[in-house]
Amino acid sequence: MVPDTGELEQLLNNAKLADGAELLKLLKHAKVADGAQLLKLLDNIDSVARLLRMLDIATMPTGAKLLEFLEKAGGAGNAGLLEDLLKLAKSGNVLDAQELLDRAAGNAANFRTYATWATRLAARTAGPSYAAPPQVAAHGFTIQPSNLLHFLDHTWEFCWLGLRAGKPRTTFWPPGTPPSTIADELGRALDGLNPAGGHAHPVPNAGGEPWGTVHVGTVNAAGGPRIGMFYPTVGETIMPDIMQALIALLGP
Amino acid sequence: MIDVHFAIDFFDGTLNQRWDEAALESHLDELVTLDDPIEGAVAIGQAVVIDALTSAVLRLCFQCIDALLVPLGAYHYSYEAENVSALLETSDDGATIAVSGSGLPSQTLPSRELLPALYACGVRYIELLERLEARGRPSYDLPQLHEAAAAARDLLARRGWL
Repeated sequence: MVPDTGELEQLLNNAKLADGAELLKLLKHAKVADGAQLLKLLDNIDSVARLLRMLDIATMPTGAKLLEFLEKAGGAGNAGLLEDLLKLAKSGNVLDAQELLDRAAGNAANFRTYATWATRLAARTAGPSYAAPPQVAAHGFTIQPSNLLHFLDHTWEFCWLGLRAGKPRTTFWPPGTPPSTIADELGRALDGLNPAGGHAHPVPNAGGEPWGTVHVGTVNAAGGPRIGMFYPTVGETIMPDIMQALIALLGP
Repeated sequence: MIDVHFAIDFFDGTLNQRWDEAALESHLDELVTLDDPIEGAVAIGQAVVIDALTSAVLRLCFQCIDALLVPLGAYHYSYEAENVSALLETSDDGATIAVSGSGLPSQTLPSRELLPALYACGVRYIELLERLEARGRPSYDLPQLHEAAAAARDLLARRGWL
């Protein structure tokens, strides 16, 4: 659609456009509805090259959808981050980012946080097996490999997002925390909760007990209380709606 | 009538599913494979407490009753699985119980209905664990649950609410 005189003047004076040829290319783009929309797109992007790349994404349905995404991401300052985020869609469909962008709702800082989390979690892998700390047996507790694996759902590297769906919140260890450190922290907590030895704390099914910046919980089991819960109480925390949005983008 | 029921989380290999009590009958084969701690939720009216389930049932269905049978009683519930809490408080005349907590809608419910409903929910959970045990899934928490249920039953019976 041909822009009206006012729009054309604004477009020709737009500092992001190099020349008339670039303007023409954008106006002719099948996904750009009109001059007014192009002006808004330019307002919310940092470069024409990026705008063309994002319009050309096969699963980006329209310029209107791209504009909505850019606005919800917080505008031009976050356009590069948005482009990177859209590449994380596990299905390859950029519309899988819709929930996360709806949550960001134009708050640039929140979008940066969500994009940072998504980038970290996109690189996650299956959790490795690792050894329980010696304090588990020394204090008379028990543990199973499945419990140790579950503790890794609070790491950025090994979190199984699908397991966290519907949970009230997920607090994470700092990025890069290896399983061995988590085992060490568990051992320290068991020592701290039971300074005289034994396994009096935590009492099974009593809500668990904090120790420093971690929380330990137990259930009854053959051979001694089984450590069923272990997670940090301090750290970056993902609330359920954001977790759901991340699952929609990254897969479970 | 207050809706108090439990639900169980089951990870199907991809996503966490939450099955309400009513749906459990058709999932017994899957439930037998559940590892400890069982996770799930106790729903108290509109408040859904998502936590390690045995721990939630033990405390919310049985152990809280002693504290909530008296006027101005309070039961602080610390979640097992998350660093958050809930609170149940009786009114000054003991007729109602206010339920509140992190992420929970605040609501006030009649004590005379709520406490027996909590107890009944806990009993149904015990019955489920016993059925799963009969199918080969050991439940080492059953003695603790039975003991707490007996104490709660005595308290409610003495009040004439059972």
